Amino acid sequence: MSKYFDIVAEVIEDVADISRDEINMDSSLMDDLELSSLELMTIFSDISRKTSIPISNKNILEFETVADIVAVLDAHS
Amino acid sequence: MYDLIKEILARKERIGFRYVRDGKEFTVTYEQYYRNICECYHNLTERLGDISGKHIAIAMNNCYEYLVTMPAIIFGGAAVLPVNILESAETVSIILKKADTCAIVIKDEESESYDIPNVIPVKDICTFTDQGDWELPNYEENPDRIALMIHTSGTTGRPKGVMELYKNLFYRKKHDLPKEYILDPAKDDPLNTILTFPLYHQVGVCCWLSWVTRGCTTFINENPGDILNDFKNNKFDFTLATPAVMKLLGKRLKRGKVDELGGIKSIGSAGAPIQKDIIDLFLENGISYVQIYGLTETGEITYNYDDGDHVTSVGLPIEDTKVCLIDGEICVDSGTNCAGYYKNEQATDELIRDGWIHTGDLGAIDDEGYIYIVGRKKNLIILSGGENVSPEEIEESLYANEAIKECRVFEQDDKIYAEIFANESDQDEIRDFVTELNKKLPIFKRIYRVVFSETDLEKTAAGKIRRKYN
Repeated sequence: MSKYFDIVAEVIEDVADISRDEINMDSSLMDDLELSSLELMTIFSDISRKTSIPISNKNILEFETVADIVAVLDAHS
Repeated sequence: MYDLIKEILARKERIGFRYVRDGKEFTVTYEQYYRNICECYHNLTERLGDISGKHIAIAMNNCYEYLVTMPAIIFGGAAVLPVNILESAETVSIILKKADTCAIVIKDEESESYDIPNVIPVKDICTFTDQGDWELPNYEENPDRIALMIHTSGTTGRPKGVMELYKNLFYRKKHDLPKEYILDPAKDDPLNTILTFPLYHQVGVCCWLSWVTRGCTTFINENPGDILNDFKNNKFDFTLATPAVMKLLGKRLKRGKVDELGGIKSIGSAGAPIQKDIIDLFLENGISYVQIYGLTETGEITYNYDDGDHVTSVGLPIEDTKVCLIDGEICVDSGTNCAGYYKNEQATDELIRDGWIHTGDLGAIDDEGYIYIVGRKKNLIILSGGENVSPEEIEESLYANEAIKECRVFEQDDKIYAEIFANESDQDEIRDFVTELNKKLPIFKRIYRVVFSETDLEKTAAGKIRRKYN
């Protein structure tokens, strides 16, 4: 499991007030976690700050699952 | 009318704006703000000549330079056209050409490319050299000119340019303030606010006007993803937010983190209806709540600071605003009413009848005069981010696929749905079509889910597809 999954899950839990148990790698950001676009932008900003890895809002809808976010972070490091 | 420039000049050394960029904090006094506006106006005329009567668009995220360029255009005698940057450059260019736009101010050369005669990177006009002694022209010479033109779907259909004349925009001071500042118009204690409402939205413009008029110190949030971080790292007394932002802040409260809301004492919402349980979160944490209701076409109609018995009301009409119900529809007569839609006589005639603007909202008025929104007459989806989406516009795009026999676009849980009647054998192809269509639509117009109907869609007596309101 990527070291970034915990960071991503922690940020999603905090921003969107979702129980950690409900957040998995294959969780769909919109269908399972029902994140709004504003929540997604906030999550991306927080993750960027915590990891110092920039994640652009421009292609926000190309991220379908938690795994997609983790993959971008892994690719950068 | 009130004179915004006079209000700015009266504040002198008081801090007007704060923002953070690349880790560095910037502060601007009201005196400096005035000089920056004058310099920007000068630079605009160097570039475009006399700008009186011209239409100049701005396509940027919120930033200090936006708040300089907008008054430079308005008080320079031109009309400002704020653009929703979530829309594609192609759509924006079509809209702006119809609005006879001569120039567009963008963030930088890497921004979207617009098919407009003069594309101006904002750094070319917001030079902030302070090396000249520039002044504004006589901006009150023609109060009947268009000062602001925001495009909205109105009650239905394609975006239309709402003509806010100078005399409408500055008819009365705006009310995007906590109740203490409304009840006491002379109150001048410094108020720390944060601007999160996009300036391409009528409410964003009203926030700017309200807070500058009252000498507030406004923190400019430049990236919506940083809203929570901005609240955590600063002190604020008040803000006006979309229901989407209130929901986001509300989750801080649910998690017991009221200390991460900047010490805010009062919050307001506008732009879309808000759920009572979100308001309750703030009230339970000692944060008072106000609500403002209005349209781009009318300016502010009502203000509500009664977060007790009338908390679900949009409030009482503001000052001399007249409100009545015609066949259940809220209609408004106010000095802030727009002059109609630009070059669209038919839509204007449907909007303004016998001097009343028909809002398209269904309402009720209680014995004390408090107004409640009970439904929507117009075919318009209003999302919690304040975005207006015309179902007809999306349906028209769907009908480009001939396999779609009938369709109905609607809102559910703050998302866009499409109900489609088609042959079962075409469903996969239609799903792919919708996926491709979504790529061309701005994020807030994208179809979240397609629901296939086994039969043709329900019709009204007139044979039109029946719209069911949730």
